[in-house]
Amino acid sequence: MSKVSFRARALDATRPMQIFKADEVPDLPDFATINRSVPQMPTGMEKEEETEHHLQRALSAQQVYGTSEALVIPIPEVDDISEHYNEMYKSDFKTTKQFIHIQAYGMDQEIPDYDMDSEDESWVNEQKKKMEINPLKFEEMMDRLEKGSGQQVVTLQEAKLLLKEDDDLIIAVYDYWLNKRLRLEHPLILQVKTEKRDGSTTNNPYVAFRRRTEKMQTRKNRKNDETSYEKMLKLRRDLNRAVTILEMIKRREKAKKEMLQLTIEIMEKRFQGEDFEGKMLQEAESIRHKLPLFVPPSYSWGAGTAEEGVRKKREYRKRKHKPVIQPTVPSVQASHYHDIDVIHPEPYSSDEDGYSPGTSPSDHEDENDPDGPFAFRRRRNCNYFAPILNRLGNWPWHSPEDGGLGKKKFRYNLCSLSQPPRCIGYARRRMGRGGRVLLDRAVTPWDETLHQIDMSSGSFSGVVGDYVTYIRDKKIPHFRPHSPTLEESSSHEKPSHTAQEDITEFNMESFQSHQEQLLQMTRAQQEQLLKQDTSDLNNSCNGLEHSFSSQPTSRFTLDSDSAKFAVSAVMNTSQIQNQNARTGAISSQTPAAPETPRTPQTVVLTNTVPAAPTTSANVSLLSPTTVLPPISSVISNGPVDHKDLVSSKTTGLSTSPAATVFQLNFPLNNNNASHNSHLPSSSTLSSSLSNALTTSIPNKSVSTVGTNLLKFTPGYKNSISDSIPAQNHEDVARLNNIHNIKREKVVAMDVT
Amino acid sequence: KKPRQTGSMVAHHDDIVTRMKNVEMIELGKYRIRPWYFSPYPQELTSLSIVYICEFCLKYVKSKKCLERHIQKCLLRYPPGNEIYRKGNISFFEIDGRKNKAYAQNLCLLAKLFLDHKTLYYDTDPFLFYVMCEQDCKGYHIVGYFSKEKESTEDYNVACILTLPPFQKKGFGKLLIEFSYELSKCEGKTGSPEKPLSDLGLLSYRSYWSQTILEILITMTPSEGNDRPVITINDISEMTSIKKEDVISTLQHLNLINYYKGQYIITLSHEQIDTQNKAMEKRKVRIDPKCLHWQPKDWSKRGKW
Repeated sequence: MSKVSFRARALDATRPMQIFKADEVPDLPDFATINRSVPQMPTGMEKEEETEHHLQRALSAQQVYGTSEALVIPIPEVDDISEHYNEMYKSDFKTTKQFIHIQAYGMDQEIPDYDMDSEDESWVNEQKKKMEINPLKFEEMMDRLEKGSGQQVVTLQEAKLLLKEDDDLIIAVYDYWLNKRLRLEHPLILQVKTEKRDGSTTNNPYVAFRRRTEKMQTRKNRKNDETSYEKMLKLRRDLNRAVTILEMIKRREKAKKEMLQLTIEIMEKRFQGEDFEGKMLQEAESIRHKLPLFVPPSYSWGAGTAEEGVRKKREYRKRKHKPVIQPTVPSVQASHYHDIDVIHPEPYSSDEDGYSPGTSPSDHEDENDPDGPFAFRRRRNCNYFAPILNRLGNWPWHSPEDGGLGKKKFRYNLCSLSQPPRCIGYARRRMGRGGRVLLDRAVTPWDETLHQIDMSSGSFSGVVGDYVTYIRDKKIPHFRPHSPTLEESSSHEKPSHTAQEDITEFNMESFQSHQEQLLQMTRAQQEQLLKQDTSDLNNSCNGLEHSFSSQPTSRFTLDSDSAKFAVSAVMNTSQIQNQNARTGAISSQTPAAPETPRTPQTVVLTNTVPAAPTTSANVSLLSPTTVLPPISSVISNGPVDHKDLVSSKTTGLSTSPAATVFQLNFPLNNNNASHNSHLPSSSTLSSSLSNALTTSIPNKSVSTVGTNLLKFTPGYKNSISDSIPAQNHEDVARLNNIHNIKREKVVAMDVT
Repeated sequence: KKPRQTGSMVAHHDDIVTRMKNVEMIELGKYRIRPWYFSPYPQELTSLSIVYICEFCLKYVKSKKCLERHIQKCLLRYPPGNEIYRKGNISFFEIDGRKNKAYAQNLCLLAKLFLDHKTLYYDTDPFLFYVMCEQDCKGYHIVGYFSKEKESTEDYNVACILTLPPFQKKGFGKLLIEFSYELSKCEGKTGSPEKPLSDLGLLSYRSYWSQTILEILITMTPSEGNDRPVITINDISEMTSIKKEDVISTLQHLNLINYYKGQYIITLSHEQIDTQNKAMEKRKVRIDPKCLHWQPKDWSKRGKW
């Protein structure tokens, strides 16, 4: 290879290098030009010291001769004083065969730190004549005096306590010590100065061995700690979840096994009973439906599966699934089941993305929270009030005892819009966010008819006319929003405040559980709307982030969004919808008609507090106190047939927000009931209602109709729950809630 | 301004006081030694012509009489630690800077008299002290020592290292260094002395590294299938526990690495081999790994040092 001029590659510590004797590579000098490629390593010395002349000479000598011996490297001056030394140190040391191993704290011999000096020696020798003292005793005493003195020198009294000797000796030594100390003006046991806390010693060169205040950082890369901690947390959570899933799988498989065994048993029994046509099975099933106790308690949704027959397969549904419009019964089950899933504290449902019981509240994360993206999160700078548990709230329609205004005009009343002029059925005014006036609409079976009414216009014929006449005759309150006046808006201020306050009470926890039902309902509604050939339904109801609660305590207050939804959810004509959308933001409503004498209201209030077990007796208070319209329903007592109820046809749309709205408004139950009840409906609900309500209905359509609203009275609910023994184990309140929802769903579905 | 909390060395002394030696003379065992550098002995002692130091417990006293009195009371005949190495009359003791504070502090004060860059600003807790002693009928006499951080962030295996002046130029320094690398071998680590090095530190380490590496290179024999011995820098580092950078700097310093025909080779001159052989003849006393009885401790697992 010829002479090279390129740069040699960098030295590689892992690359083998051949070892040559210099004479084995005679042509090496030819390559010397490129030898400079090995990086110059730092010496590790201070830069300014590195270049020192003598050092450089010594380094060069090492380089050239392999040793710096030729140069004189200075060493500190040393004198040998062996003669004296040999006198002083004894030569009696014998080492051990074994390595010397020192015991911890073996050093703590009781020897005084004070060492006598020549001055002391002569003094001690002097004192020896008079007193009993020897050098060690003297040193011990001096040591104690010295160590007893901090900033303050010990007094004689203290010295006497410190030194357990004769008083004479103590006084002598103490005097000697004190004099010496005063003369020398420094401690007699010399010690390296230590740090003072005030920081004044920071730069004192005579202060040494300071304590290391901060924990010494002995390792690098501490910055990763936080991320790795987070990773560990995540890992733990994932593992927890895995454990939960596995546990649930175990349960599922167990249940499957049990199921299989039961199936086999059934088959065997059938075989023994020679039931080849399936007659016995059918019989057995019909018995089972009458006694739904068969249903395993952990699957409480099974209670409602009257029509379903033998359940072949468990339904696996994720809560987040978009609900599909389904035939009534399955959807009931689905909703019912989902609802339970949320209500149930145990995670035993088959819901696969169920929350793990092992997750702590602090672990709240989106995918983990049953409320998903709607999970309640506390916001900073927000005050959260405890829920009002002993009363219903301070909405303006509530009685003053509850903090409301008790004004009838805020209850559900017939309501008309000026543009387009028509009646929208029953609605309630409420001040929403930013002073918006919201109309909470109640669904009644008569909405269809009511919507055809324009109270301001002339006469109607047929049923509609009857209605108008009736309303006018009976001076049933009716109002019509008009443009706000200053006066009006100020008069609404108070309600608006209360509404705002109540919002903070709103409990979102069970919101998610209703999400699906809501969606289904909205869909059903849409469909209905399409059927009615009314154009575009305000889609906002789909997109709205509805927040409302169906907490069994019925202690909710609605926030404006949910209220809005409630309004929109009960719409059944787009006209109104549109109208409402238009007016919602701006118009304040005032009663168009002067307030008519209202039915006393009431009693029902207590009745509807779900905590209190409702009895039909309670409910019965409702009607008698009612000023009944000419056409009101007679609801007779009778056993509630659950099936009937489920399959009953009602035209009204009931949604759970509507139910909520109703519950908010329940003091007006009787009002609404009475007003609504005269409206024709094909509903057979009366039969079911009759269980709970004893109402005299003096008029035509005996076949009616509690309002939807009425259906939600707890009495009614109880009647249902009574009819389902399978769920006896359920908390009554909870049950009420479940059934509420369930029935609502039925109603909603039936509309289509 | 406080010095950093790790290590034992400072780059420079800001304080004028610490630049001037403050102790005129010390008496240690059978030697009187004139110190070179400042040491924070109690200020009252600095006015004395001699500071007397007990050669076993290293306690400082102000007078010969005091020393005599102390020696009568002091029962120590060896450093207050465990003997971890003994061969012939040479022994090494390991002292924990936290457990034997008094001794460790006295040792540091003494060492500071001869070490410029050493700092005594902080306590001795994070250090171990390895004291080399020569044993005779009076006891174990301190010859030199090195300190070592219990946990080093930068692979330091030595913090301060000192051969006491009476024993300098006798090869004890190399013995101390050799011992320090022997400990590193036990730990399975490579190590390097704490920086900055002093001038004498650099000379001593250069000398030790040169001899250690040359010794290996000279005794290398060709492995099977090769006509020449072959070695990598990592090999040298592993064999000696000398940190890779120090190996390279030594090879470079000795001009051993050459680029030849597209690769690096190591070339040894006859002079270098001769000098090395002579030097090794002089190093009669060596550390014998078999005489070391020591288990490295994982200090990171102990809450405190």
